[in-house]
Amino acid sequence: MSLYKQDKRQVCESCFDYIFIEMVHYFNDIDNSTDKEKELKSSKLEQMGYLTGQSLAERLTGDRSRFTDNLDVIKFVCKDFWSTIFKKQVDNLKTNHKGTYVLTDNNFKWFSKMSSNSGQEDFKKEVLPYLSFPCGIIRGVLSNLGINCTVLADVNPPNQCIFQIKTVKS
Amino acid sequence: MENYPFDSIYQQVPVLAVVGLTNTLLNENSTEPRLQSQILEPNLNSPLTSIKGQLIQYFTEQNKLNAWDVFRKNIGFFHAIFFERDRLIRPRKINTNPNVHSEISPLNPNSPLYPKGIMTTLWVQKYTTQIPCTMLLFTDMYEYNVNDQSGIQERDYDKLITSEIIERKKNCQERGIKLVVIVMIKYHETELSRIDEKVSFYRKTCNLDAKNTIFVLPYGSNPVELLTSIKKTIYEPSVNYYRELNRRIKKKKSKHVPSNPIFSPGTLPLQDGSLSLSGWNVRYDLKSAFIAEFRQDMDIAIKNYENAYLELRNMFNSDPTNNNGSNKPILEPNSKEWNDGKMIADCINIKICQLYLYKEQPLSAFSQFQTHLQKYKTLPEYINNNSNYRIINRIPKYVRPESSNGTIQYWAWMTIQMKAFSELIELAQHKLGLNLPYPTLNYKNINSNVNSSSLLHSYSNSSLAELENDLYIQKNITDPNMFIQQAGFYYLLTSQCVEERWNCFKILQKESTERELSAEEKNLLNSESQIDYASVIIDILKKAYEQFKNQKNGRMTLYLARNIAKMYEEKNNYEIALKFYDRISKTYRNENWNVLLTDILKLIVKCSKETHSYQILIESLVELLSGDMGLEFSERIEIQDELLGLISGSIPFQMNEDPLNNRNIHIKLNNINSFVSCKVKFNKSETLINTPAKFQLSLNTNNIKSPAKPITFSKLLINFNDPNFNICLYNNEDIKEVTFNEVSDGENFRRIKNKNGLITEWINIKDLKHETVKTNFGSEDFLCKTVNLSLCSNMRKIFEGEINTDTPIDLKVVSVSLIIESAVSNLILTADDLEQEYSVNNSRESTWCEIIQDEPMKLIPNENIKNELRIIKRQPEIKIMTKHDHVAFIDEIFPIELEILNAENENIHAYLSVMCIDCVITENINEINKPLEQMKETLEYINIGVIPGGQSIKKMIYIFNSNDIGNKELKVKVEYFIENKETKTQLLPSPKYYSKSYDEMIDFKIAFEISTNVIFQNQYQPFEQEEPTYSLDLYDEEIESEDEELIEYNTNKIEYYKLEVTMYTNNVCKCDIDVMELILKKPSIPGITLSYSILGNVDFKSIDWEMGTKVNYFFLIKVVSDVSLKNNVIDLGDLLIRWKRNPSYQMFNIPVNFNQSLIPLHNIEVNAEPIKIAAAIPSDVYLGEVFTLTYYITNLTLSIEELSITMNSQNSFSFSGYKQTTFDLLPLSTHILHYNLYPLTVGHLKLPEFNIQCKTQNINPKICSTKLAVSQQPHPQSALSSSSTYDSAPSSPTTYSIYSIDKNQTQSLYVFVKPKVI
Amino acid sequence: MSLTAINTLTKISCVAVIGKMNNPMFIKNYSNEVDELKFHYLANISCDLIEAKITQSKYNDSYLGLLYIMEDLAVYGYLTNTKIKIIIILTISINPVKDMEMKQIFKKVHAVYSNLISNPFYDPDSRNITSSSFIKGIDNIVNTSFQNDVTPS
Repeated sequence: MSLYKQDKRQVCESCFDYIFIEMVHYFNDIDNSTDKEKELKSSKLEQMGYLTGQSLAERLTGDRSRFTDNLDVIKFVCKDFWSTIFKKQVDNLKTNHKGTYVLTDNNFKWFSKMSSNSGQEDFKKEVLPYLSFPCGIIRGVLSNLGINCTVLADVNPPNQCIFQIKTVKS
Repeated sequence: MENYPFDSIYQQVPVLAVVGLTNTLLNENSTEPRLQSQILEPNLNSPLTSIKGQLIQYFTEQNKLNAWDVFRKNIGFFHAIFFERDRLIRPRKINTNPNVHSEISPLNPNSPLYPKGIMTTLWVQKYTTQIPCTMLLFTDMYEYNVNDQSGIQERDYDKLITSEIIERKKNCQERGIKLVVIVMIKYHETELSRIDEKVSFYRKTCNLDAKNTIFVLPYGSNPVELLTSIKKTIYEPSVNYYRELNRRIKKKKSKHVPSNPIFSPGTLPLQDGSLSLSGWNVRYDLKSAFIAEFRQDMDIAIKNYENAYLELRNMFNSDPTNNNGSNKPILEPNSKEWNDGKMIADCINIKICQLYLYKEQPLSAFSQFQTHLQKYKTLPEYINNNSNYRIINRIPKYVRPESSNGTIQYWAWMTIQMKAFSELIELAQHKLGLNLPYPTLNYKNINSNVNSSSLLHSYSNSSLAELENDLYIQKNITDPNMFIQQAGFYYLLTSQCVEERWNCFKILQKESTERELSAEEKNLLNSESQIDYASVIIDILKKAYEQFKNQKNGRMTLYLARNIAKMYEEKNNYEIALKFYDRISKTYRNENWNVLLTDILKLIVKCSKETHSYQILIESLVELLSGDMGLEFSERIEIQDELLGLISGSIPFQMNEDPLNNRNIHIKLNNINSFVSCKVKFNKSETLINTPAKFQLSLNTNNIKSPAKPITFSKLLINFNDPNFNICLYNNEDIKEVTFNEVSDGENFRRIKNKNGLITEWINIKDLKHETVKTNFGSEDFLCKTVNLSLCSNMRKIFEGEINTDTPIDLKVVSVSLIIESAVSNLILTADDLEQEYSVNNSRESTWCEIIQDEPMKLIPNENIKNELRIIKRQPEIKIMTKHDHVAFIDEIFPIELEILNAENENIHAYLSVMCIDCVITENINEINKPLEQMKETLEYINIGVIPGGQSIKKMIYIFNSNDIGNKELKVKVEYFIENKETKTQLLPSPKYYSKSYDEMIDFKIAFEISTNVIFQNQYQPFEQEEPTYSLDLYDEEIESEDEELIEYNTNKIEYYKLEVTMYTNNVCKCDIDVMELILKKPSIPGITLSYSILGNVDFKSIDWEMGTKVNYFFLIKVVSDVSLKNNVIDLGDLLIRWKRNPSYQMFNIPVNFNQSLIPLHNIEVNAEPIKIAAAIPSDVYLGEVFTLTYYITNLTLSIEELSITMNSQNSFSFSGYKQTTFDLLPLSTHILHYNLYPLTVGHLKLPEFNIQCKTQNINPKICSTKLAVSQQPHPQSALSSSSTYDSAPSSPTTYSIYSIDKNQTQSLYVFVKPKVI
Repeated sequence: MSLTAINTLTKISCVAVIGKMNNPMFIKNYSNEVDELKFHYLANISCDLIEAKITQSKYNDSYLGLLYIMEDLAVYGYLTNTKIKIIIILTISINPVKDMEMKQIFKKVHAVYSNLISNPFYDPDSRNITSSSFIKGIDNIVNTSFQNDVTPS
């Protein structure tokens, strides 16, 4: 499935990698004087992801039969969506059937180039800002597909990512 | 459908005649044939009457239903007609004279059809009311109970019954109708047999053949069950009956209508003025259609109806075959037949549609309906060539008239047609369960990824409908022209037809004024003028409304509601209209259907004027001002002028409300689409008392369209949650004409235009004056200023104010009111939702407009700014610092200096509390000398008095830890308040005291590590002759003590122990040691005395103690005990060290007196063993040098012990001396053995094994100590050196022998043999 | 008669995009004889009919086909997975439209819409669509569709 159906414009992946890194840096480098500021920045990054996700959802679901229920949507995210964005499917999907879904990607593409010379804890700390964008994307996709939710993410070095999706009743 | 005779559109079902249930008789002058035979009176008080009652009820119930109610289960469904008791079915006409016709034939002069009528409903009625297909005869059986007999004999009774049956049978057979006799009996078990024979008797006597049957309905059984079963059985025959009937009709038809029209049989000359050929055709087709319908043969029925229909239609056309060449249609236009013909056509049409629907072929029905309209709209009376007529609604093609617009008649007719069709569809939906719209989208072709379920769905219960649907879908096209939807839509269409009709009527009215109308136009006008079109339309729309309501199409109902309301308007029923509009507008407003809302609002404005409801009018006008409304500029101008006019009173308005309470029109802007939006934000979310915080109120008309022209408010109120801050701004009336050019009036007023034409105004309202303003709530105090309050389109008006108060409070703006005042009334627009809604890429509202001297305004994006300001008291700043040595020692009084710095300019008054875990603490050094128990663990609320602004206070505290080492937390807490502000601050809700705390870890170490050992020693000279006393002053003799062994007796036993103290000094700081001494305990056991002496006299004070070194000291402890005492454990006591830091290692030079540390000593055991053995060797042993090994064997018992000794040779040494010997040892005496050893190798070597055995006690004592054979110079240095040599020789015998005191260790001594250094 | 003559070639009279909350985002009138207001009403009404359609049938394609007819206007519906409703209104003509054809048009519209919201400068909170490129896109679709329409055979 290609993002741009009508005209197959393509772009080198590295370009994205760079811009992604730059994005995060940009927001990190802004003087995070107060925690509130910091909060704001990450939320801004998350917002960008959110918008991206929304438009992605619009595109990728174009010629797809209607979703029957939430699980259906989540599955779409794990399969089609994931393989479009991250060139692979989610490795593991868990749910408690009460509106919480846990997606595990054992080799998260965007982190595949990352490594940290410091210990695991530090790695997590350093990687954290890079998560808010993908979280935003997922939230965006889901919300556009009619699931309001909160998305949390966690990393297990080297680059296993765990996204926890909590749907909120509205 | 009510426009048509019931019988001609009712879908027929087989008809059943029921007789014998009621006893009513034909009235005298009825033409119906009568029963000849006598009727037997039924016994009324027989229980059977109740059953009859039931049956009657059952039949009547059934009659209420029709074919559609029993859809798909119509087998055995009859319509029942009750025959009077004595009524017979009328026979076929007797005489065979061809010229005598039934009184409903057009040939019969006294028939309603005469001469040219085609069909009358009477004919159908004949078959629905008079001639059934089957007759049910209910009759009772003779009853035997004597009491209730009307004296009649059983024989006669049966005769009567049989005779009636026979007669009826005859009557039925004449028409080939089936007769069913149902005998109702009330029997007892005993009579069963008799009943059977009786029934068979009946059968015989009336010889009821297979065709006519007899049933028994026993009392108590459920009659309805029996009936239903009967009906089922008789269903098929009845159908046959109708089939038969049909044949006869065909015969008749052939009589009237020659199969070949050219050859006309002379039987019926077609003279003019009589029914035409085609007429006859229609007539008979209709008949057979009806009959087919009776027998539920829908296909035939439809076929016949369609034939009839086509034939009929031709009769309206001019007919060439008409023999008298004139080219005019068979039917005389507008004659009676003409209209009847139309009527019949309509009925047939309905019929066909009905039947198609019944057969679940809706599309065929629909197309039939359309063709009907097509075919008949061309009739001359429907064509209207008058160009004044125009269609007002957009109407689907098949409804549209041929001409520019149809005539009134056309629309009248069309209305009826549409209505009928709508009703049909509605019925089909509800009764036949036809789900619409139809046809549904084809899954197979459209849906690329077929999901099996839908496939299944489309095949399962593949009724005709499904098939038709599929056939239709093959084309993969949904043809809008062939698309059936919910009845509601057709009702709507119907209503539009009525509107058209109305329209035509209006036009006609208009024309009546202009030209002389023709006669029939006149009475048309009259008749039409009677009609209340609006109500008619409303009724139809309400039907539609119901439809959609059931389908849950809320929005459609809104649309209909709107149309209904419009109709009410037409009826000048404005109140109701308003109610409708109000409800509608709400929904549209919520979902932002602004264009629709605009539409409704306009209507509301119109109505509210009519109803003189000022409030509503103004409200709608205000909302219409909003730019979101789809309005033209001119309209906007009008609306605005009107609004302002109304407010100012320049436009007179007569209100129905009480003028007093509507002087003030309150409008909540949040409930409507407002043309101006208010946003309030503070530039910070938190500020301190007496420090100003700015806020901005921005009025945005963020739309190019509105307000169409500048609008000026007379007042602007900003209401805070605390009224003391409320602001009132007046409009500056001096500015007469408002222009919006760029202005820059420094710090007061700016106006700039950006490239998009957005005008931004910035107005300073920091300088406000207290005034009392009177509002409609009376007069209140406000902070006031006069500013320019005119707004224009695409504008952003910012008022920047300042809050500065000395009381803490949570402040927010609760509402903003824009007021236009006038003599007549005040318009008060209030916005109370001023929160900043979060927008992803923040729009203009969510920016803070910063203004800098001589610079255009900057817009600083500021997402997180809220309409909330918290004003708080700040905590005055102080600093807490500590100063102390970086390591504290156990048992030491540790001084810490606290410094509290007051960073404020005000003086603060402070209280100090300090504590340190596991430590006692004091602020006064002398307290430390007090016993620990009396000392406090914490210092609380030490008043350290006033700290002047900017200055600091130092405070010394001392902590003392006698317990364990490690990091201890020091907690410092300072509570304080501002001195001079006190009086004020007390009033405030905030706490009077501020507090600041400070934690620090303090590392506790120990000054020295001490390890002690107690070693048994052999006797020492110095004690020989003297009495055991505690004498601590005998050093001198003691020193040059080297043992020469002579044993002497002594009454009480003396033991010597060497206490070895190893002290490691810490490597943090140097310490001075005052003294080190033993504090010996007075032994608990009498007869034991302890005394000690230190080996060598040391002046500790003089010594300079290196850091991190190790020093050994030796004390000699003498234990004098009575030999009789068996072994006892003696607690020696403690080692006391009095010490302090070396001044050079102290931070503060405070006179500190010595700290004392007590180290507990080992316990020793007296009289542990009867025989004690000590070994002595020189300290240095060299390879190839003989040395002497001496064993001292002491008998501590009071008996003579016999000992035997062996010395095992061993390869690393060669020795001289007893290899084996035995001797007796006297009590309390010592025996000495010398061995000379010659080491053969170097290194850590095991001495030859020395075994001793005590025969008498049968034990072999162990060597319990060794001692150095060299004299010991107890000078610390040497001590150090010696000790160090020991250290360097880890395996030195001493060390080892000491450890071997341990009993169960194997008897082995080691020595370190050094190589000989030359 | 003249009316029918016009109607021989099918023509899109209106394209509407309706948001998740059933709020109108874009309604453009392409017919010269119908007034805009009517289309707004039609669009509004179709919301319910779309709901009805997706609930009643387990038919799960985005293209919902002919929703309803009012007067001489046929309303077609399309519901994206993101619950955006697209409405296209045709003036009924003699020769009906192939559903496939219709579906394709809807897909094009949806693509244009996707491009719109992929635009970083597009404000999803904005009530209605004003983007010129979007409008151009729709215009283009409207003008190019049904060109190969021949008079009824």
